[in-house]
Amino acid sequence: MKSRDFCQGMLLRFATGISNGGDMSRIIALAFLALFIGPTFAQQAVGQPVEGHSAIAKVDPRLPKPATAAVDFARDIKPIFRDACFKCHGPEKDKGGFSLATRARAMEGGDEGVGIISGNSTASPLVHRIAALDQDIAMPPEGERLTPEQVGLIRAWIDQGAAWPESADEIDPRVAKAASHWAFKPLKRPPLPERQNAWVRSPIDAFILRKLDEAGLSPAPPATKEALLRRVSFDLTGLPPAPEEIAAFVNDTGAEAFAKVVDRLLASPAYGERWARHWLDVVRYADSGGYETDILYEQAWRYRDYVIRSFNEDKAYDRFLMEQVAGDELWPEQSDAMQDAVAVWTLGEWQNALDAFPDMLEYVRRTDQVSTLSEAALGLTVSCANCHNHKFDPITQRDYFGLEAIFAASETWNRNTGAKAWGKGERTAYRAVRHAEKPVPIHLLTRGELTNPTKLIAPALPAFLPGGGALPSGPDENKQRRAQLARWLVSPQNPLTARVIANRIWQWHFGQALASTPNDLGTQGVPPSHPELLDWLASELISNMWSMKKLHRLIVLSSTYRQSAVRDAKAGAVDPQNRLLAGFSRRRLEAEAVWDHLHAAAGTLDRKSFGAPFVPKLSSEELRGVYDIEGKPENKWPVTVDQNRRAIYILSRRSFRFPFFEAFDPPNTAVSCPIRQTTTVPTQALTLLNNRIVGEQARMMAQRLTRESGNDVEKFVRQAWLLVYSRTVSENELKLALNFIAAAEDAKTKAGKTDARSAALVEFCMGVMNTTEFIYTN
Amino acid sequence: MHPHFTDSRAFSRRDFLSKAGMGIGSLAFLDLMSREAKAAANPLATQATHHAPRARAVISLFMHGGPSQVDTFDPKPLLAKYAGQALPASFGNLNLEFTKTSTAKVLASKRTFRKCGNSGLEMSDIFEHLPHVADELAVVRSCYHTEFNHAPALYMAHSGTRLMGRPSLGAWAMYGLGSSSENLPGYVVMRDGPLKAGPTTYGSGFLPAIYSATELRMTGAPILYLDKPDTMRPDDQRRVLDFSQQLNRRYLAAQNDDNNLAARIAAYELAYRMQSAAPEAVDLSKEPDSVKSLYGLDNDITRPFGTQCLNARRLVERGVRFVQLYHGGGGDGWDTHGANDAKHLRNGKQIDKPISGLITDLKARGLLDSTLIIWGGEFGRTPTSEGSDGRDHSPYGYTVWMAGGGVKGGTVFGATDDFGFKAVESPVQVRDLHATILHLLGLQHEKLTYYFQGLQQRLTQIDGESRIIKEIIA
Repeated sequence: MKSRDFCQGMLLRFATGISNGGDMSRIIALAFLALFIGPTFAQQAVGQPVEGHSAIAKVDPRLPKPATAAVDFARDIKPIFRDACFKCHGPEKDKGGFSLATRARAMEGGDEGVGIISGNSTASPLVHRIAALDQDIAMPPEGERLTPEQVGLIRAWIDQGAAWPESADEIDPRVAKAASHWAFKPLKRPPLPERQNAWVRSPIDAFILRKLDEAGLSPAPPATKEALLRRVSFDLTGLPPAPEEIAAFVNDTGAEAFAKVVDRLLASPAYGERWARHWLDVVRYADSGGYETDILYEQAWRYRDYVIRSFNEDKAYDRFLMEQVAGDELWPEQSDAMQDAVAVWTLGEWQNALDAFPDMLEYVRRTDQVSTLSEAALGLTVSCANCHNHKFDPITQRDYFGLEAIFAASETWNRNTGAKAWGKGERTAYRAVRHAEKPVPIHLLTRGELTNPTKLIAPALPAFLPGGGALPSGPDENKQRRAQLARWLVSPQNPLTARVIANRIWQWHFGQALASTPNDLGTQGVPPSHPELLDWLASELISNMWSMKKLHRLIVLSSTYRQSAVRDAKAGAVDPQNRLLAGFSRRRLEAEAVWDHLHAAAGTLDRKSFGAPFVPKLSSEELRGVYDIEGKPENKWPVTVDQNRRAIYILSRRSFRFPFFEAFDPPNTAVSCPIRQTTTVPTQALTLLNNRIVGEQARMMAQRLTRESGNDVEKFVRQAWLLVYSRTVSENELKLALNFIAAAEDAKTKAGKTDARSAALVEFCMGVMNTTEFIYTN
Repeated sequence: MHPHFTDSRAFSRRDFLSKAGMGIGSLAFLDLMSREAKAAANPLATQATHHAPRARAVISLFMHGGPSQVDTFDPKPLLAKYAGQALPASFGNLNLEFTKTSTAKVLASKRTFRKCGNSGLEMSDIFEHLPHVADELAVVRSCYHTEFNHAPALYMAHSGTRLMGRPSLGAWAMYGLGSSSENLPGYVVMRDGPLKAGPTTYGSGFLPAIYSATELRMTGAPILYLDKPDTMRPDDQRRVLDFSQQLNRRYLAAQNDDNNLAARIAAYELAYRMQSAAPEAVDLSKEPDSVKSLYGLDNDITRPFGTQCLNARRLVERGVRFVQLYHGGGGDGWDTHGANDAKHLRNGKQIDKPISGLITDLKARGLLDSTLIIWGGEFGRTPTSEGSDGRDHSPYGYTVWMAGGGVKGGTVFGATDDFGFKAVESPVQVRDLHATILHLLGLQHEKLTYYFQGLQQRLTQIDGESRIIKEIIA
């Protein structure tokens, strides 16, 4: 099995193999040849007898004569194919691009052209090969040759019109296997478990409880109200609850208290800023192209804002997906808005080294688009099929290039210059999507190399999935390719789309997905821990008109979500990964949430939404990692007036990640990033201890609390606890904190500090910002 | 099951704490199944190797920009004969950055090559001191890949693919071996300027961030964020830290056993120790003058790279696993599109004494046997001229050498054609180099895998054969 790296390596290996002139024109010539000659062959192959075929006017007299009796394909011909040919040209292999598994494939021919010309056996290359008169082209190359009688039967079959009933088609076992794979089966709402008890608030709980029962485990007790509020606030908005919100929730003893909180959070604009970040990971969002020039996509933020708005509006997920895939084609009247949505296809990496090879650049771009689409929307890792048929998944190279052909009708262009968006010297770009005047013809590429084109591939949806296959042709079909893809993605027959997003939403709430390889629900992925629950969530999403907010509500209001993060010893032993959810999984905040929390606690968070990214100040030490071709790193990191906005608005460069984030597992923006890792590294400690930002925010927090508490240190501490841990301080903690402040003040006084108390309070704020609990929710 | 590196709950706290010493463990030969699991439990714990290692540490001397093979380690007398003429048509038209193979003219090397040491290893006269350690070097003259631009070539040389954001050799070595330093990061980078492909070049890609490099800086605080803020004195910080750790232990207890929470307490202590250990590691004031002069610290030209090299030795002594040095960052470095000869002379002078000093010093201390030294750039240069006196990028045949750590010194392996353009005899791909380096570290490249994007990924990629270059192994 080969990786995408490798595949791209191969296609790039090609790039270095092309000479600057000759070979390229040869490829183009080949492409055109295929374009114009292809249909002619195809017409012949469909079964019009070819008369007076000059090339084979002289028939070798040794060629076995056609049989005279009527031939039946299933009875007479298929057994010959199966025994003599299938090893290399059957359902599992198509050496030389030629397969005799189905009529369609057999008539299509292979890399060297058509093999069977219906009605004309003497003109059919296949006949000459199996007759084995010329040893150089004889088939099969090894083992027993066909007998003259068998050749005669095949000749007769061809001459009689090559009838081949569909029932005689041989199905690729991988496709057959696909039909039984959980994620490719039609989505059906599963029956609810009968198990009910007081703990079961919703069907989610019933599904969870059934598995817990089977494992002999019980749910954890409910989390404290404070812990639950902190959990759900970070979960839904990426921000801690304000002290007043904590008090309001704790004092609200009504049955609907938590539901009210959830509704408030879902209605907050902060919700979109939080959940857009999840989606941006999945679609490999960044503001620049990476590599040496790391070209700035100066208006990429329009897409980011589009995503935030969509979440906040609770845009139906099917609509959300359709707009991104093909908004320009489906709703052309909303041109600008839809350009913001489809801009997702322009935001991949820009390998500036390939500027001189526009065909290669386009190929690399399509590769990025196909893998991003399939991983993000379909939860399928198809990149392997760029180079070869997937050994385990049913996805074939044809499926892969069929998807590429969908994107081949569109090109990215630079809105600033109105030119196609490739070329040396472009330093910034506002890129959008438009239709190419002529779609690039897509060929199946041997080993994924652009120098090795074989068959012309029509735009198609993956054939092994329901509703898959070639897109309908017709006038202007090239302006509807992505639209077709979009419609299919959200059509009821598509088994993946709803499952994929339901699985992700679950992951973003609980820290791990039900199927824990969210970008690969194919046969190589990890099967879900709770398959019925996943299907139920996906069905529920659809029946709620794809409302993600409704799904969030359903999930966070469940008893499952409300459990304590402290699990009993038995659960820890039986289910160390907490797949069964006998308790909530404690989570470390992501890089962005750490930033937001620091500023929220300090009271400095600037809640300005949308617009161009802001660029925080960096020290010269921090800037030292920036490479700029002109030796001006400040060009790559142009500091803005805004400094304290939410982290989603920080400039995201591919070649230089914001240093504060570096230690907190930021996403890899090269490809779709389905899961944020959680590592614990000493540089996290160094960042929180010594980074300028943390020191500043600690100072601001101390000032804020001093303002709010007057000279009352105890009140200062109590309020601080609410700000950093979202809970009331315990008496022991209060003592510990007051002792620390006193000791610090004492030390400061001894060191001759004039304002020892203030300095001690800043130290206290530094201290709590450096605790584990500050960057965890439980 | 595909293990992922996320929160680990698979191990008891006692189990974790017993491993959390992060010290030099005895190298046992354990089965591979547990590597990812073990890494998840304590990612920095010393890991078992697949076979007995020849080298425990690596010092990679990376010549950023791409040094010319025909002016350093790959003598081509024919160049003088054909100087000013076009190459034979048989070279076709290889892709180059700025020139065309078909029209470019041969540029003779102005350097004189000498046979050095007992082995008679050839190197050019840009090196004055390196010949003294010639018998330690195994020179691979037939390296090649396909990337003729800096960024993809840098990614290729470090991660085995042209793509950005893949784990570098150092990150894989950390993942495979764990750390053996109690107070310092296990994978350290030192450079004299920014790299054309950014810090991603030496990043951890899809491997957990804990395996990424820590940059050790030559001026100011040796590690980013290592220095306490000006307002904080050492005992202030310890007091703050003690307070935080008190709260952390309470949280750990209240949350009833979680490896991640315990690991965080340990990470804070490591960070605290690093604040004194890292400055100590790069404090050269106690090195005797004889050693400083051995590395060229007594000379302005050799001091910058000499400092990197001496620091590298000190880090290896302190258990650092992988030290990645860069020469030629920021400016044109080895990227000699013009004035090729003058710049090679300049660069040669800057690295010559430091490198020979490093090898001599490691040998004297008995560390050379266990420390693998690698020298090379992201590609080589054309034997033809760019402008009147420059050389263009060429990845089609270039030189990398290794020394120490199980390498057979005084060896030449592989060859380029008569013009020094393309690897023709025993061509060596980047993945072969990587497989060889991992082999010397006691790791089998096919077995060192990590699951990502649906595949068990590896440094040597999964599509083809990689050959361990046995010929250069002692």
